[in-house]
Amino acid sequence: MSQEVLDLLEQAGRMSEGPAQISLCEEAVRVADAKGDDEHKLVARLELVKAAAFGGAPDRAMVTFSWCLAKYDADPEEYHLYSYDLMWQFKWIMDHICDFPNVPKDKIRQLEDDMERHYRIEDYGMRAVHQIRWVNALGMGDLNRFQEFWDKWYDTQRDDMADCLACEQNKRVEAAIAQLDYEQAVEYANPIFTGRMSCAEIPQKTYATVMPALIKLGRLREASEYHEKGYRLIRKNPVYLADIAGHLLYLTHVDSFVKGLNMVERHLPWAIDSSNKYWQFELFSTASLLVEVMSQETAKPKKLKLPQELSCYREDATYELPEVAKCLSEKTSEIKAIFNERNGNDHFTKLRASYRDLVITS
Amino acid sequence: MTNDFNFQVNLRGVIDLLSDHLYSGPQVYLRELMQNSVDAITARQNREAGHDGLIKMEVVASGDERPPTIVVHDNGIGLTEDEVHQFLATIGQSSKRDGPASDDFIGRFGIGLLSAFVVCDEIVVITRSINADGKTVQWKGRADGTYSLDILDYDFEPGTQVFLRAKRGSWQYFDAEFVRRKARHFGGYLPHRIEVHAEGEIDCVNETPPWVDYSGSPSEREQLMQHGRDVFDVEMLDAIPLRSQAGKVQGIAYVLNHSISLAAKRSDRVYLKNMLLTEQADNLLPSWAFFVKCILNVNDLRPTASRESFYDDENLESARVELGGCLRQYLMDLAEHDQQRLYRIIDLHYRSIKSLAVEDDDFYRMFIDLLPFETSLGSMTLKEYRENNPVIRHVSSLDQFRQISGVAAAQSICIINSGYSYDKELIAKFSDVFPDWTVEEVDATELTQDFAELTLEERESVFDLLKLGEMVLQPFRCGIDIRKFQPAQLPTLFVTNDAGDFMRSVEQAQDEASELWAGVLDEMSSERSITAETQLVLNYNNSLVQKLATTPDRNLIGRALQMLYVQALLLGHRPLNAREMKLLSDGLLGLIEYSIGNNDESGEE
Repeated sequence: MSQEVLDLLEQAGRMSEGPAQISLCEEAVRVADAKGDDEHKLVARLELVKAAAFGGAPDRAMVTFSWCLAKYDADPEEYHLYSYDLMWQFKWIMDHICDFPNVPKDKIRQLEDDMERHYRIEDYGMRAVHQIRWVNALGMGDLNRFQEFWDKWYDTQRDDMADCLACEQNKRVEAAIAQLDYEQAVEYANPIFTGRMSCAEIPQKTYATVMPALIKLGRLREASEYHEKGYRLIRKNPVYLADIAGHLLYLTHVDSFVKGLNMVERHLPWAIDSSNKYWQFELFSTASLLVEVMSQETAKPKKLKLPQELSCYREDATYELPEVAKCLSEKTSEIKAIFNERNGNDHFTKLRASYRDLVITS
Repeated sequence: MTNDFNFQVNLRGVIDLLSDHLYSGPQVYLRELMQNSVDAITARQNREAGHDGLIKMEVVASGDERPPTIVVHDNGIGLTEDEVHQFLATIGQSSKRDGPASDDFIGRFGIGLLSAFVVCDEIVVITRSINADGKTVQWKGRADGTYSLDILDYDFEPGTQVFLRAKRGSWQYFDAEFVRRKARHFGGYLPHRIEVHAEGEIDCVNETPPWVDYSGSPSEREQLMQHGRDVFDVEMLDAIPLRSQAGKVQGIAYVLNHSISLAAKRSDRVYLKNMLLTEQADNLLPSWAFFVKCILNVNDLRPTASRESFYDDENLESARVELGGCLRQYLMDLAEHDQQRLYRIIDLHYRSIKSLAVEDDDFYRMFIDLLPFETSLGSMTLKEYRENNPVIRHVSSLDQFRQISGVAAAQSICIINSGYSYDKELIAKFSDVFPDWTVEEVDATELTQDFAELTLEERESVFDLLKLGEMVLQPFRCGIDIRKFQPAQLPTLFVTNDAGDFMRSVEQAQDEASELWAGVLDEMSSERSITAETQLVLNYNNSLVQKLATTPDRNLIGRALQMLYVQALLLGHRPLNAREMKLLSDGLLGLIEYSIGNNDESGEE
């Protein structure tokens, strides 16, 4: 028994989510590997998966999860106490798998099948699996497949493996937004905003998710309220990178450039460090729109704190805005192209156009 | 045809729910009764300015078979017959919720009186309203959900009396000493006179509240400190008066005299309009303020239904900012007037101060130089570091700091470990706040570049060794380099950057994972693998390394380099993957064979 592992995990468990918590769990894994038994190695890793999944490191979560799953598969009897946790974590991993464009479509299907196989062995219902299938289909712009599994999901009873009510409701909002069905999105979001549904990530995610709908429907008073409420809840954790993009769209739409630039300066480094390409896409595309719209209003060069990794980086920190907009736009295009190629469609082109449509008034 | 019916509510069930989930224990019945009395007095004072409130709690001890009872009297506004029906018998209906003066009251949920059912089966209320036509009304409520109401035939003084008889198993909550203690605990700071009548004695439980307008005199401070000792039972380092317009909050923050874990849950003692609400409030102070424990009196924030916490609304947020402002100002004042105390606080609570500095630029400017950081040459303040280093260099991963710190120290290279929470943000921020300074984040592989280079001649002599090393380590995605560094006994140093660490964990997972998952890990990490750097740095100062460079047997050199690689991994506490394990066992056997072979040969000569 290594008490040190358990102490580290306990300490981590009481910290707020984010990079510091991830480091502490990684430390626990190292100690477990050096001194612990197999069970400690697993326990520490399960905590690391959780910290990484909720702290904005989906690749770390994925790598660690696959180790745990393999250990479990090799001896399910020995680790049966952890089967529930592991099956639950399966969803976190699969929820973001389509965000990695290097993973081909057929591999994603096979992973979904692997999830289904595990759920059947453990005798859980298929609702969570159907949800994962439609989430991935939607993420890759495959609307037929999305509809097929959305319907199955709708017809399948909730069970122990289903997401909590608030998370499911937020997924409905996301689905409506992705299909540009804005009225529906706001309607889905209502029970969340009236405080009837909440959990660890809801409502703060929903405040951002619903932003395009509010902008398009001209409901700016609500948008402003949700921006104020929502941003402060998500600004410290890189896991909300894609949600921050929603707030950027709002600030661009209402010409709130100073706030917008602060946000870009603060979160661009996260985007660059992030392993999640979809999150990168969201932040680069909305940041480039902000700078573009701003450059139409002012011709003066601006002092900006941009990360060195950008091709337009300048030592003197003084930038021509069109140049920055172009640089960010190129970054967006690069990522868009990788996704389109994997998906075999122009889903990301459309996605980008829909953001543009929200903030550029011709 | 439609028939409408009313829901039937099982009162017993509701009471059980309340006691199990809403309240922290049966003793809260005393708090709830006192609260009702206070609100009744407040309501009367709104009508009759200058009315003196009085709450009497009369305890009658148990006899042989007779359970103990308690009677709580107040000279408050009293209730009319209609109000009794409306408020005492309707759950969730409170006389205090709506109306112009609703903020004057402590209670607002209409469930307070019912909490008495946790300790008794019947509640008797005798009340008479101050209204001129007010009659004396007697209400008997029973835990089975029924009640009766009688008009009594005599003129009672305006006010209310509540009679409770302990039910089986609840006698201890009616003990005279218990009631005195709890009355003082919950209501000792109330502005009305509170008497406990028991065992033939009358005790007045009122005390002066510790929150007043402070003058800042030393004797006052001593008084506050004494109060902190009494309440928390430990010596505190200092007492800071707090005040906030938002929420109308007043109180004292005590600086803890011991370090506190980052993860500890905060618990402040909070009074609502002078009545104790909770000893475990966790959301009134900003999250960075974990170095203090507070006693606060709140006049204008919304308590939750359990009355043990507050709704996290905008008003609370503003109050939190104002209270945080008081603490911030206190620290800023110390920086100017009492550095010695400040150093003591920093020593104990630097994490708290760091977490504020991350968010607050002015505060950062003032404190960053005073804060301690871990470096390869030990813990030092940023000021001490800057006095000896022209550029701030830091390693942002705990693991990489460990790889390098020992060796860096041996070369007298001072590097900051920013792998702990807040430190990375604090260090990275330095050049934003002080633009003249350069901050460089380095990784372990970059840092070895600072070690002494070989001369051209020396380079020549190890050329073959490096080339061979490159070849044998290439399958492990590990590069090789050679430098001169201390200590000379150390033959090699194994260093990686973040991506290198990540790729090691990928390989570790792939060792275990199914083909499908292993393949996906490959695809997912393909981009990161490009920036991954892993290097074995040989030490030219080490005699073994020098010997290797002059050994003609290429097989032996290859084996030896592989073994040095595995040894470096083990020294760094890195788990070996399957191939490295194989390398270790093959290599050991090979070396044993080799040395036995050599000995045999020398024996034959």
